[in-house]
Amino acid sequence: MKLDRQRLWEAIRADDREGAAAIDRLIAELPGYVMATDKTGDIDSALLEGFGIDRVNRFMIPVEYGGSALTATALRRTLVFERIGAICPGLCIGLPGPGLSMPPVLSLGTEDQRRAFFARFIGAGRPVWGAFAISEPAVGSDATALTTTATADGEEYLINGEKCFITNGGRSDVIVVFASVDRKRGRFGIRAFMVDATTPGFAHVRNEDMLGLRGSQLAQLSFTDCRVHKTAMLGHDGSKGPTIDAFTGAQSAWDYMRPVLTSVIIGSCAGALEYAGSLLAGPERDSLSLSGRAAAADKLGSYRQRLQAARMLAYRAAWRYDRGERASLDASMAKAYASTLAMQLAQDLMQLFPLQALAADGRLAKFYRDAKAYDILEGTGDMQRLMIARAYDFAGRRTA
Amino acid sequence: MMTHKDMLATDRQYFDLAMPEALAPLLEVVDRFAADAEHSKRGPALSPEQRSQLLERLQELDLPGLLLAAEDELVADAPLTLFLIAETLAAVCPELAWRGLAPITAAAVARLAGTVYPTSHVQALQLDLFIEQGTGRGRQWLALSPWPAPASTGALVLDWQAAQVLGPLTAAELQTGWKHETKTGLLGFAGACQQTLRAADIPGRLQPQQWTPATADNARRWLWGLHGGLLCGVQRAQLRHGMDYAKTRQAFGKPIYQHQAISLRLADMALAADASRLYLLQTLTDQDAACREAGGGSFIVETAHQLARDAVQIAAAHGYVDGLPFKRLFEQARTLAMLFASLTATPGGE
Repeated sequence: MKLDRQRLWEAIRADDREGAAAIDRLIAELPGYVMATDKTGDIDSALLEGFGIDRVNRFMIPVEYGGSALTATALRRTLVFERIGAICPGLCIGLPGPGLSMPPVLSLGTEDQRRAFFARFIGAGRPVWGAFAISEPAVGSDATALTTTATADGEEYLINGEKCFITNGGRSDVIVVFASVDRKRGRFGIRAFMVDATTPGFAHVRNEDMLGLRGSQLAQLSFTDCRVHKTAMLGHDGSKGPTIDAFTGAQSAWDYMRPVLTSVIIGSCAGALEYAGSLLAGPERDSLSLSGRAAAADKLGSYRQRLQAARMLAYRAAWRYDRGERASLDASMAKAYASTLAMQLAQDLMQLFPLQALAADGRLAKFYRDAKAYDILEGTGDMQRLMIARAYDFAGRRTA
Repeated sequence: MMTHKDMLATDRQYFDLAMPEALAPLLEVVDRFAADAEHSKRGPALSPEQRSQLLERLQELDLPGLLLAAEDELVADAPLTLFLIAETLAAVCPELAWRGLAPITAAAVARLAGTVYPTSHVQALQLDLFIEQGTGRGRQWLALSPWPAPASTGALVLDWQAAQVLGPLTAAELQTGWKHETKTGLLGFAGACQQTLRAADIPGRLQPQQWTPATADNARRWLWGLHGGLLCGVQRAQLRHGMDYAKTRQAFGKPIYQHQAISLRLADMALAADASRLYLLQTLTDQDAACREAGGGSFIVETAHQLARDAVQIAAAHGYVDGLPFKRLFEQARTLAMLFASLTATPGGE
């Protein structure tokens, strides 16, 4: 076993010095935008201008298609996104780039489709977002039951349906939409389509008013006779479509993103713990008795250990993903563990520092609101646990 | 231009969760031994005959020889190796794992303190950990012994929180220099006992230069490896038996693991077990001593209690009585958690 994270961080920075400089600037400037983003639900354009936005656009793109070496492997992504998540998880999730739309394109798309898709994000000179649209108002965890349809019409498909809770959906240039070409076939009828946000029939209905993570903008989208060419279907080479369903592409997106999201959660918890530590060392400690301070220090110490355990779960998922092994279970475990930890930490910090927690625009109140989201987005903790329990055989060995 | 493959190679120079290849043959032997032991048990606990047979076979593995490469030299990664062996053995039989591995750990710590026992004598050593209790009556120790004192060549008596080694002591000194105040059985480990001893008159005999902070941290790594491995093995057994029971026991026409309340509990057990195991592996691999500082084990102890409680709950009344392994594992987890906690416990008052 080797776990030299510091030297790894130095090595990956050397692989992409421009990207590293962009990250440094981002991390330096982000704190000034956190509360404003939380209030407005939008990212101030001033943050995204004037510093290597092209580098940020490339963060989730494979290096062979012009992406950044900083985020070229799952392990690297965990290191990068923990650092940004520590400042503001909502801003981190709301950053430009293809985000969750990248893995389906990579796993299902033809070579031409990949090149065309990733080219949108390279050299644009402005922030470019992608989105991944699978959830619907009546279809959440059971994504195979989706009702959005794609009906063949000559060389084109007509997409009809509603999508909800789509991260960055309202600001995206391109959306990867999951729709059924034959609802009788269940998951086997599901295909994924790349839809340009300027396509007639596509509409951004609204952004939801969220409890937390407000910078990430959960959007409701609608598709009304939204007409796309058949080559917008991922895997369609112009003459025939893919023979497999697109659900594997959706699964690849979750496998790809869950270690990243876990790292954002871990960063968020680490930031909250650091802040709590500063309260315990500052004048705020006077509100606690001597024994209360000792108990609080013990509690924070225990959370630091649990956070390290969560970090190791995320690293294991990333490490397996990078080795080309099946990592779905590891990714689910990491995300489920970290999200539960975050909510427990948030509750305990509220009790330890009630005066600071009561401030509506305070750091602890924001962490409390943000933390609730982690157990919901990208698969609820309950569904992850059902999957985890089923992944063990009679002998208690993992089968996945 | 660098490719994705190049970057993966760079990552692996600094970060790799694969176990050292050199360990593979050893772990294979231990795995096979554990599988045979499991097969030969025919029940939830070992009979005295089975225990002694297995102990004989365990000694044939020559674990001391493998972990203590030369008379005055410790194998690199030995605490990690010790953890993995302890975990594998404890998943089958915690008593056996403790009995087989505690003496090796004692010998290793003795070597760190400058005393070398011949490998052939290592099996007879005894490892005692001490939990200091502030009683107002002077220094008092609660000694947790893995077994009744063997016909030993000596015992290592270690107050390692205070970075002192009192000893190694001879068997005679152990009998005469310590005042035995109470002696009771040890929860979950038949034949083992706990003793309350007073040791105020036994002088530390190592010079400070023999027991440096680096030596103390090394000793901590060995003890951390042993007790962490034992705990993880017990947790693995709890999870395995919990899964087995939940997939066998029927209620309302289907195995109980298909009821969500049980599924969610099993998943939480799996999460907790993996989280604490990875944390321990990280602390054993990371050279940063800070991660093993005081308080560093509270999360492990909390997790051990959670798993022990949940495993019994899965089997409900069947978990609470003799017969299935849950009751025994619950008790063993508690004892091992106490031992582990003693590695990071804050010393009590005089």
